[in-house]
Amino acid sequence: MSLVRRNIKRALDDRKLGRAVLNSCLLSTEKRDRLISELDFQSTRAAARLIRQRSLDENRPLLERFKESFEKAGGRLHYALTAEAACRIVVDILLKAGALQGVKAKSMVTEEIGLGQALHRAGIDAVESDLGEYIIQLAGERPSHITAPALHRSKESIGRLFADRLKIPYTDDPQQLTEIARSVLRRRYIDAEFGVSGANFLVAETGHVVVVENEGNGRLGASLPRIFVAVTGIEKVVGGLSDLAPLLALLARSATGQRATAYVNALLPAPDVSDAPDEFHLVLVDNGRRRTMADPDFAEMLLCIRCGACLNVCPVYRSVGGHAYGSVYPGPMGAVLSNLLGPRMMMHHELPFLSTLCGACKEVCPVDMDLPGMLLKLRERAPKPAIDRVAAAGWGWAMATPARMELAGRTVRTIGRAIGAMPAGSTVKTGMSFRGLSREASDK
Amino acid sequence: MRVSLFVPCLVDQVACETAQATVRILERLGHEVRYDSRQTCCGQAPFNAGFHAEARELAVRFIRIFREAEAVVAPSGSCVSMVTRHYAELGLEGGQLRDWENLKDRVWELCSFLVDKLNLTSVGASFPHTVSYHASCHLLRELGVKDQPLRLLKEVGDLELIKGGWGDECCGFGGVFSVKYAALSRRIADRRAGRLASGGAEFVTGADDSCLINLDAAFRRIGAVQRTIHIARILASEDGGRG
Amino acid sequence: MTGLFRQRWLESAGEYVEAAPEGDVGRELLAFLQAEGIKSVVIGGSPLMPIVGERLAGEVEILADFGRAGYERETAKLLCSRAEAGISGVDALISETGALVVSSTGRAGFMISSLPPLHLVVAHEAPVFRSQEDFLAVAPTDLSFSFITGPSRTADIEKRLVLGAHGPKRVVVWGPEI
Repeated sequence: MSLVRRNIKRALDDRKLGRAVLNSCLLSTEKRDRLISELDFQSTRAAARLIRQRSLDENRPLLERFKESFEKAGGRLHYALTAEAACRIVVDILLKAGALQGVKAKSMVTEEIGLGQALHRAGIDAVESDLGEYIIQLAGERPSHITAPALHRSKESIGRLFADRLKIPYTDDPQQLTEIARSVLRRRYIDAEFGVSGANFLVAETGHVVVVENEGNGRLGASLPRIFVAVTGIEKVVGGLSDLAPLLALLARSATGQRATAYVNALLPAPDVSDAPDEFHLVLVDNGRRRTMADPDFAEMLLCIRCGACLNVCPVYRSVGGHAYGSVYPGPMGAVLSNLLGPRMMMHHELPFLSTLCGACKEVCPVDMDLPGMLLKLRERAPKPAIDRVAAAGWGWAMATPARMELAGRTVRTIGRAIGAMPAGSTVKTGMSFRGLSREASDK
Repeated sequence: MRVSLFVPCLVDQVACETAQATVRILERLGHEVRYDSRQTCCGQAPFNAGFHAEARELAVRFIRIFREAEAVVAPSGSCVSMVTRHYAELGLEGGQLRDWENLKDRVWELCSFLVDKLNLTSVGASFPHTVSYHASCHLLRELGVKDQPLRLLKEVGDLELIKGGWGDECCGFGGVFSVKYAALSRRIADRRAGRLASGGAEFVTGADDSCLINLDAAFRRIGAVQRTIHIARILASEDGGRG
Repeated sequence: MTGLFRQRWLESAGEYVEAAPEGDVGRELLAFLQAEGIKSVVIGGSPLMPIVGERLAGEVEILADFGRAGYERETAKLLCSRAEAGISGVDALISETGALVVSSTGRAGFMISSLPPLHLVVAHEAPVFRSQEDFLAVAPTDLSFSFITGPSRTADIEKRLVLGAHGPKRVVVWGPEI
């Protein structure tokens, strides 16, 4: 049994997990629908898509422009071709600065490149500061959702985790648990020598690094420590500040059902300012993105703004949660993206099949990505197990002539009746196919 | 109008009442229904499983059989979507591609054909039961056929339409998905069936037998009394009986 | 536009006080601080702040007044994290999203709006923009800035909204009369 199949079985057996994931998805979807209805969704997402399309079509010149603005402001730009290179760059920055303890804000790209483990191996202590990520880190797990990393956990399990790891009396009150995390992490912030974060957008014209968040940890990490390292994908660059407007309007609504997130931070290096870091680094990660941009079938996937709406509406995600996918990026966007990033394509070739192709993901996507279309293309590219090849060849054979089709159908009906698996009110009564009946009729 | 009937393989082999009902509706409306028995399968199954070569063979066959048709009507949203949309992804060339481009706008899903092509909402049916509608995904999201089935149902005599649960979540079938991930598919189907059943209607209808068969099994599993029935059988029904 | 700002700001769990038209906002702030029993503050560097500072002097402990003196990062963050409230101006208000625009101008704008549990914002003279889009068209190209919409928040535990995740639990705006 494949890893994905084992994960699915485990998820289906865990009824509590199922309820937690489903409830969270339903709540998120309901809030999202309410706020999206304030916009002219189709025209806003068309505008957002154009802006993101330009990020890909003019990626090199936009990055050049960004580099110029960002470095002029005093920032230091790094480019990493691979995940390993990206981790090495961050580790080197921190070791060189003697910054051995710090705080990390939520970022999917750092999960993608395995930065947490790399820092740990280098003896650098980085605590996750987003509440959900902090919970996951304490539990030694991986996030199960790209915007709500701990949604698979009940408040009781988080209460037990906190009691156990932080040696405090048990409580399962979300308010109290949040306060506890706040006070533990506040001390870490004061002592932090570095902050690490992802970035949602990079603004080419001005050099701003945009970090969208709700908790306030993003801006703390970018203003308290002397070293700040943002890590993000090369596809995140947009033209000017005005390009942010439709993207922010859609991101807040799609991700968390808010009109605006509590914080949108447009950060610019400012080495002389007391609440900006002395060193502001940005690590641009390729890790397969450049290759994907050149692939007309899948470049579209890089339009993604990581809102997570496609996870929340996906019938599969709603049933098994994010861990089942066995990849950093779960859900419909994950089933596609996981096969495009990394050293080679199709690293998760089972995932495109883990979808009913219902299209709900495409319907909610704020940049109108054709996720089902890409899943279908990945299915075609995927290496197929022998049994699938036999089945497809068998289907082709059986459907090549009406007589073979009738033979195959009759077999199915016979077996179906024998095991009582025929649908109610179907041809069970007559045991006939339509073509069989119509032939009888014309014979008469 | 001369209407060429396309009976999807699944309808043909295990749900033939749906095809018979389609014929009855169209004939009652005064159309000539033609059935070319050389037809087999649109190719959706191998296409969704990632086997484009096998799907292409079937697409070519479909196009050859139907290219002269005045209108092709099928009681299935997903097969029509395969023909009208996904054939574009099969790498058809030359004459085959031209034939498909000429044909695709004449291929209709039944409900859409009645409402959008024939401008009808009442087809003279009567069905004295409570009914909930399940929107099948490809009909709804790929073909954009959303209100047409509901408008048809509203005109059926003695039929009471009940909103079953909420949202338009998938039934969990997904063709090859239900084979590869059977337990997961059942979980999704049971959830969807539970929501539809909560509306309390006697019947759940829709425009795709694949989804309805999947839901029917789910109703049995969760112990719900609801039964599924293809919308064609409701629209064909004049006696208030079951098809 | 200010009415819409207030409505949206309140919807995001922000608090709004109408600043008295001819009254001096320093006195109102002082009354608020005394009513809340707040004894220590840090004050930001925006133009109205010196007047505020004068009003508060001697009445509450002013741990740092960033308009009067510069501080090293380490000192600034310790003072800001000890303060019970941070008082700052604001660069602009955005109606449609109910957002404050706060920039980092070397006067600890980010720390004041992040570290103390209570953030008091003097905004009655701030320019009001209709939308994010309108502001972004004229946004500073050489400064860091944040849009702030209500207090810091999280819903990471069972989707339950909790205010005050890492930043302030309350943000009170002294805005124009409506």
